[in-house]
Amino acid sequence: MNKNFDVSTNAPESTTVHRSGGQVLDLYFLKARAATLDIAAMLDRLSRAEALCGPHADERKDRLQAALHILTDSAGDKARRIQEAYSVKG
Amino acid sequence: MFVIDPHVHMVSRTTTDYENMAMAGVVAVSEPAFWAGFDRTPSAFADYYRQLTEFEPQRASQFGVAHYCWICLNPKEAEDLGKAREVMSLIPTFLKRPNVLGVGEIGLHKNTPHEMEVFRRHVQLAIDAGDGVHRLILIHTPHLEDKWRGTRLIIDMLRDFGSAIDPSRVLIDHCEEHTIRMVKDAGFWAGMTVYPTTKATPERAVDMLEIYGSDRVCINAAADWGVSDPLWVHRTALEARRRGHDRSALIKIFHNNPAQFFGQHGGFAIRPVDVLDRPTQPH
Repeated sequence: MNKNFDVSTNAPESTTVHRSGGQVLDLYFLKARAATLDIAAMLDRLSRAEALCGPHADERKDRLQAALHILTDSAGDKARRIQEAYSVKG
Repeated sequence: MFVIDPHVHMVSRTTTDYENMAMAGVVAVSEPAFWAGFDRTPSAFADYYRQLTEFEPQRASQFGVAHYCWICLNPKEAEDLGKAREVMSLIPTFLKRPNVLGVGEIGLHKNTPHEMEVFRRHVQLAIDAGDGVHRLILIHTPHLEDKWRGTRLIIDMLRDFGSAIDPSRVLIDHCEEHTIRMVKDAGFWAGMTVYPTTKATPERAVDMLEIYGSDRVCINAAADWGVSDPLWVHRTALEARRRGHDRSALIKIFHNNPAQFFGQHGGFAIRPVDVLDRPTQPH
């Protein structure tokens, strides 16, 4: 068991590991930083391609845009909401 | 596909890495002097420089890989000016060894005044050790939030040396989207490091090639004792190929560019090669 975290074991169906915001950032900031750069570079790549070949209508761009809005809004539960934004509805 | 790995810390890698690299077409590696993960005593550096110049070439040669290196005190150990002076007194002797390409990887880590002072001393050492022209210089730029300012400081310090520094004999490494333009515009060689968590990814490295061009650019993985892999260089070549870059372009980027830069040192034996694409003749 990781001694850095207090693992609550009295609710096995939703085991919670208590960690501080600082600990989360220590573990995941660099990965998240790299992920934002990857997304930015992909959007730049798309812009360059469209500048060269003309705009390309594609619903995947809309889904991506919706996901990016969720990333920056003030509400939580972002991963689930983004999965829903990428899901086929109906 | 022939590859020259322009920046890899093989002292931190296994012999199996040499074998895998050789099987993946690596014909030569260039290993800059580096930080060991902890600060060493001055006396440890002579052994380290012997490891770089004597032992690693033997290990590489088992797989037909030519091993070249660079000598310096890395910026992470440059805060103690007394230690720096002591270690740097060893460097001129090692620079005379035939497999030492030049002074590197010098540079900045946290952009402190002491790091800058030691950087300038290394540049002067490269000038003093040259024969008409200064020795080749390989430069580390800082990580993450310190990179933009550090790269700017490095270019300004090099310019302070005036005509004593020839930008075509200097490679400034670990360039990313916000620093590659300033390096290339100033006439230096630009290195890109594929080290996905803290530096570039294959996709972003190929983006930069497409935006800024492939002249005066080398791509490396700077594989070391961290979470890294020398074959990120090959993954970058694969990404370029996936996008339709042809074999001539790949050979230029991953073999001929390093051969051209390192070839300015007379002891570097590998020359650029041509890809001759001829139509297949019917039998």
